[in-house]
Amino acid sequence: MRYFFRRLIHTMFLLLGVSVLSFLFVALAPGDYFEEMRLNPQISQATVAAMRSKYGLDQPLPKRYFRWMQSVLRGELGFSFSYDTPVRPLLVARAKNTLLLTATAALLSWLVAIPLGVWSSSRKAKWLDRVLTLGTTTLLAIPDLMLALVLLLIALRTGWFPTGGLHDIRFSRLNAWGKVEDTVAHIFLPVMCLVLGSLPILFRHIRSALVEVLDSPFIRSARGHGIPEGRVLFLYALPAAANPLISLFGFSVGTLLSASLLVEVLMSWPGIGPLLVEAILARDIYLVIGAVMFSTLFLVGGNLLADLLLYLADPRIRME
Amino acid sequence: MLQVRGLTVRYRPEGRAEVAAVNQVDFSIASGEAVGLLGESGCGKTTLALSLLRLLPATACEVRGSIFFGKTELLGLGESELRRLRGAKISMIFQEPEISLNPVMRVGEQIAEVIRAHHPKGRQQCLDEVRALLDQLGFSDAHRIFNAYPHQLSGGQRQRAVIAQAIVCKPSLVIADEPTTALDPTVQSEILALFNDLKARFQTAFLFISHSPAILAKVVDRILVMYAGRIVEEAETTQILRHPLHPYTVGLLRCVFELGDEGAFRPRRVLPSIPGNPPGPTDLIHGCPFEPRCPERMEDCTAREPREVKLEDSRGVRCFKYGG
Ligand SMILES: Nc1ncnc2c1ncn2[C@@H]1O[C@H](COP(=O)(O)OP(=O)(O)OP(=O)(O)O)[C@@H](O)[C@H]1O
Ligand code: SF4
Ligand SMILES: [Mg+2]
Repeated sequence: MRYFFRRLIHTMFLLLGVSVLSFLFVALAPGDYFEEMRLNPQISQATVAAMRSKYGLDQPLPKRYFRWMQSVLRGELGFSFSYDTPVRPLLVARAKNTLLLTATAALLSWLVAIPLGVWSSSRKAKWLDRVLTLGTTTLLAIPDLMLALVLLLIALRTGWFPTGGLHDIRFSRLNAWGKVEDTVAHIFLPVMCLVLGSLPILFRHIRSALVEVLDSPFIRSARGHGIPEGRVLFLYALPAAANPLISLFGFSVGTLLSASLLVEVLMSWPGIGPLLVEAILARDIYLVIGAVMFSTLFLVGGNLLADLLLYLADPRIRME
Repeated sequence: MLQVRGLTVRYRPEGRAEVAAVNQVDFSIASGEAVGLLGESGCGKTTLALSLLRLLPATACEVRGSIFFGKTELLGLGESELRRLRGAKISMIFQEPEISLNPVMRVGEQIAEVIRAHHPKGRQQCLDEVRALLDQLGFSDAHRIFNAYPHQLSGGQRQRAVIAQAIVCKPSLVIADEPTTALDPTVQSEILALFNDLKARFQTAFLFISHSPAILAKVVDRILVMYAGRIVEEAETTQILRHPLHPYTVGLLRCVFELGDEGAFRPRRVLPSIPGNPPGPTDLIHGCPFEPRCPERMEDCTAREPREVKLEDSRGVRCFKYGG
């Protein structure tokens, strides 16, 4: 428990650090949201200056950071110029979609990668292993961007899946089952893209972790007692390989998240990704910072989850 | 019950030459009999044991000869038949009890897994049977062993857990590979007492592997002496102790015992060792493999390998001193 408390404090400091850094980077970038207005002859320089001072952009950086902190404590996370609202409600709506996408993709890729990796690590599955190794090597060689474009192309050509958005226009009129069906249809492409992108790496790590464990004496003794191969793999080897795999899980949440930001943009999934791009282009600085903070929060959450799993999975850690 | 004929096991380690770790080995074990396999480190004891269970590592490139268990030729069995045999008919206590238990499963569960592997019983019933077995074996700390993870137990407790795992399905042959080597002397004698108890109680045959004649003398009826992958002498325990034939056996016994007044060996206080080292597995052997270290070597000893000479019923030796 003490350990988790420590982790929580760590997390706080991490978020603080990330906020300072992103503040600095955003401040270093040339121009701001009101730059474009200045080029517009219809708006007087005085108005622009008045607006800049209203949002505090004319203040020195430490003061702006301080004001932003206050708004964070108020739960607003700053103010979006382009949406003319506090940042938090904007982000929360988008974050839900990103969370839905990454969580589905993480769940699915692990659900597929574990049995495949475990089975193909067995000496008895030579053929399965060869086929899977070839398949994942091929997948690994295809860049994520290309994968997304190919999937999009297929979807466009066949018309089997919607290629953008979260819901159909008629969504609100659908019954509960229809809503689920519609969401699944819409999430299918981005999830496929993420799963295919992360599967080869997960598969390889799981397989090599298992191969290593399968070499250990306690596996030989389990086989020596006639424990069936399936149980040896899933009940003996997999739990014993849990430590590296759980660390991999924390890491995979991170890579999935960054991949998902890209995929969201490509497949117009209304998550944090497109919002972040939009905010960067418009120099809507507090929105950018907020989006970065949310992504960090996801990452930290993934790692915290991994730690919790580690604690639950390994009696040697639990007993400490 | 177990009949091994002409068993040869060759390893091909990565990037090195092929080695014969077990060479033309013949022996048999009757049901209920406790047989000891005696030899220095590296002479092929573990390899021999693993080949009986067909558990050799992938580097074992060749296994020749025949192993009859009852009427079954073990070398002809398929994977699924082997699985049903292992742990149920023949089981093994592996050399390092420290690392042969699953680190992330409670010990009781692990023993129960062996029952489940061979009988269509429910989890709870298996666990109950394990509890009953631990009580029956008279473990005073049965409850603790049952509920603990391996890392929470002492060496002796782990060894007993491993033994319980090996006998829980009442196999007709238990192979114990150096079951007392890693333990301190008091625990060692506890474990030996446990084996003697098991012998009496379950009528199980044992193949008891050790590098120490003193330990074997306490548990087995008959001893096979192994040197460089070959069985060089075979006799009743009492005969071996009173009257060893092969110069290697004599050397081994000298290491541990000294000649008492009544002509039998008795435990020694200072332990010398046989001078020289056994041949490496890659060394080419022309004559008798023990020749370079043998204090009694003769002219003929390098010419060819001595053949086994049968002396009495259960006595055999490979040495030119006795023919060969
Ligand atoms: N997996 C393997 N690959 C290649 N060679 C091996 C392998 N295992 C054992 N050997 C070789 O075979 C020979 C016999 O080894 P084995 O383990 O059977 O001896 P041992 O009598 O059990 O020794 P110890 O008393 O140390 O356990 C050794 O020379 C060893 O180098
Ligand atoms: S055969 Fe010769 S060298 Fe070998 S043990 Fe006998 S006497 Fe010694
Ligand atoms: Mg050994």
